[in-house]
Amino acid sequence: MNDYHITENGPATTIASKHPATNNFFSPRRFGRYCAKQIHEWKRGLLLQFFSLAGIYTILMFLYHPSDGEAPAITSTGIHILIWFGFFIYIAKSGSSLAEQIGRRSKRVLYLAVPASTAEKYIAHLLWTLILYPILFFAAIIVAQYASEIISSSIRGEVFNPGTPLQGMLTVWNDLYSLSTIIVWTISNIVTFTLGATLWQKNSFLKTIAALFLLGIIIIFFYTIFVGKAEFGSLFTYIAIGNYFENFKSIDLLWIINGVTIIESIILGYIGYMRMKELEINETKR
Amino acid sequence: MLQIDNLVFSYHKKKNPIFDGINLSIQPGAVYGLLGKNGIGKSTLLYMMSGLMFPHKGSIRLDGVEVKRRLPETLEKIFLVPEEFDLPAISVDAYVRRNSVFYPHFNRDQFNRYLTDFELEGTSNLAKTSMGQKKKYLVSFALATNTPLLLMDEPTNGMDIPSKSQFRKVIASGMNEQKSIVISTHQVRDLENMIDRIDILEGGRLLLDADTGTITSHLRFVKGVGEADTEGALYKVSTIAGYSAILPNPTGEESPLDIEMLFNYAIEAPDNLQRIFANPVK
Amino acid sequence: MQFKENQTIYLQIAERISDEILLGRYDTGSRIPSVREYAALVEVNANTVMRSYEFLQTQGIIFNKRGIGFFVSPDAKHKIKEYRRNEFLKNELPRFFMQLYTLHIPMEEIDSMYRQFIENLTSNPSNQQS
Repeated sequence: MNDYHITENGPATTIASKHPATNNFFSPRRFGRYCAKQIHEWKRGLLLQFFSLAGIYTILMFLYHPSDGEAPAITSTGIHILIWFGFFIYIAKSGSSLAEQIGRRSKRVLYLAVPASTAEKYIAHLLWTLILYPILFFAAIIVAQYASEIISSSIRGEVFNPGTPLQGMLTVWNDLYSLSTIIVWTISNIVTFTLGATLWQKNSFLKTIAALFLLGIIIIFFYTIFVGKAEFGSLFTYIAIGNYFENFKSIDLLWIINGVTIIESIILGYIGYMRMKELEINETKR
Repeated sequence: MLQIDNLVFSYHKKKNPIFDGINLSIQPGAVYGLLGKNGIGKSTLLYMMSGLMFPHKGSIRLDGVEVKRRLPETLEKIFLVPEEFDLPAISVDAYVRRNSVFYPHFNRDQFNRYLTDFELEGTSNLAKTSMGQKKKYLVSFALATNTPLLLMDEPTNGMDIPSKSQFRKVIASGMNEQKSIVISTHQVRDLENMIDRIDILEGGRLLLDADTGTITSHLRFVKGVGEADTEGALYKVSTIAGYSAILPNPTGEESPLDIEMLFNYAIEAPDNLQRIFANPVK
Repeated sequence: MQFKENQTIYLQIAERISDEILLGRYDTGSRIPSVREYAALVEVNANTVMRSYEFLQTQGIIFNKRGIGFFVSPDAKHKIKEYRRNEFLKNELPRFFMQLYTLHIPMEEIDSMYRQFIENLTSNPSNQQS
């Protein structure tokens, strides 16, 4: 039935041509193309996020702006807390954003069908949340820093003193422990919420938080039963200074916590990857 | 090329399986019409053929590789046009530039030709176009990727009448001897004269898997004839223009296949149909 | 393209191409559209159109230059008429005779009517068909 020859139309005849063996796990070239595809498809959404973040922090810094203008708003502890709090929420939301790509069947179909490996799709997502979204976040903070100063000097006539970009935020770089803790927490955060996205696609973010909350309660519950410490308050002191760790300095113990977090991230990350490999179109849930 | 062996699948363990031992071989150079009633599992079968759903038993292989592994080398040989899908909020041009790189045989000229055939102008935001428009863009892109296997799930749903005609033109000109196209539909009229091979899905099995030549050598289709001419008919309906009927075809004389009638007959008398096609024509 | 009810599609397409050749849309020796182009034109599967082309080829109406396409044979018009003549004598005429026989129409009556018809045709050249 298929012995007709339509040679006038060129393109068809090229199909049989050989091309080099495909790397089915990870090909840098294909990965690059995949990232380029995603960033172009998300351009509009990312810009919107950037301006929303910049807007929110401009308002916050404007409200926090000290009237004497001696120090820029960004150096205040309140703003620091808000920035770090916002950062972790934003990164967690970004981790959960995978659920948007795979949640609705109408999107999931095309997501799964893109000829890139599961590893490439998964790594791309982790890299976006680890690199792209933090850059976007802090760039928005810098914009907010200047914008809030401009607004407060023009509206309230206060001294224009934006300070250096991210002034006071960068002390983490001076201290290996703080820096590694922030990185480890960020990774753990991303991996956990990504796993959450592979488990629940509807309200993924809230469900992951609820699951973490539940997990915390269970841990404390078993802890109080088996270790016999009735007061919750002593839990932290117990971990931090703990009877079993008398020989350690507390800083060593925190390094151990970081180490444990990394191992936990690897395990959760691997589970997330396996979940992605087994992701199907679920015909019953439309 | 694509080989389905003893495919078994059910949504609920206790209920009847929706696929109960399906065997099918898809060969290049043909348009396959996957027909079946609504909810019979046509979409599910297409998802499984593209590796987006996994069989409970049996295997689906493309060039010897299990499609459910979703290896890039497999995915780049398949294009699925789902019944419903979202396109990103970018221009047609950007979409093509960012997505065509994954398909080694993509041809931009072909794509432009299909857009012309569909009378599409191009848009700056694909996400904002109607479902019918999205379908036309994706069908154009799908054919231009020149993947050996092209799967389309109810492609004419959401298209207006002129678009359905354009669709047939585009498929006819986008087809070649290295491709196989599988089109699922319950609106068989839309695909009249487009199909080489008919696969009817019913009751978890393929009731019929035959090319049109085989069908018309077993069965004779008549239309607008008097009642006397429908003597011994396997299936007949009365229309304004007279009777339309499916008759046995002892002489092997060729008649124009009427897919809709064949489909109705298949659903009405599945056992008879299978008995007819179990015997080869002499 | 509107298809007739009881003739196979590939023969109807072959008929259509023959008509187009007779009307001079495709000159003798010139290339006719590719299978794919024609398939798109009539919204029919390319394999069906290929069958039409193969049929026309066996009738000697078109010929295939491998790698270039299909061309109208030098004596295509003659071949088409010859084919149609044979088809008419084989299929239509017996039916026609059957009607004459059952309706008791004498051959003489038909003969005079036919002469009249030819006369009208030649006196009014605009009715003439190729």
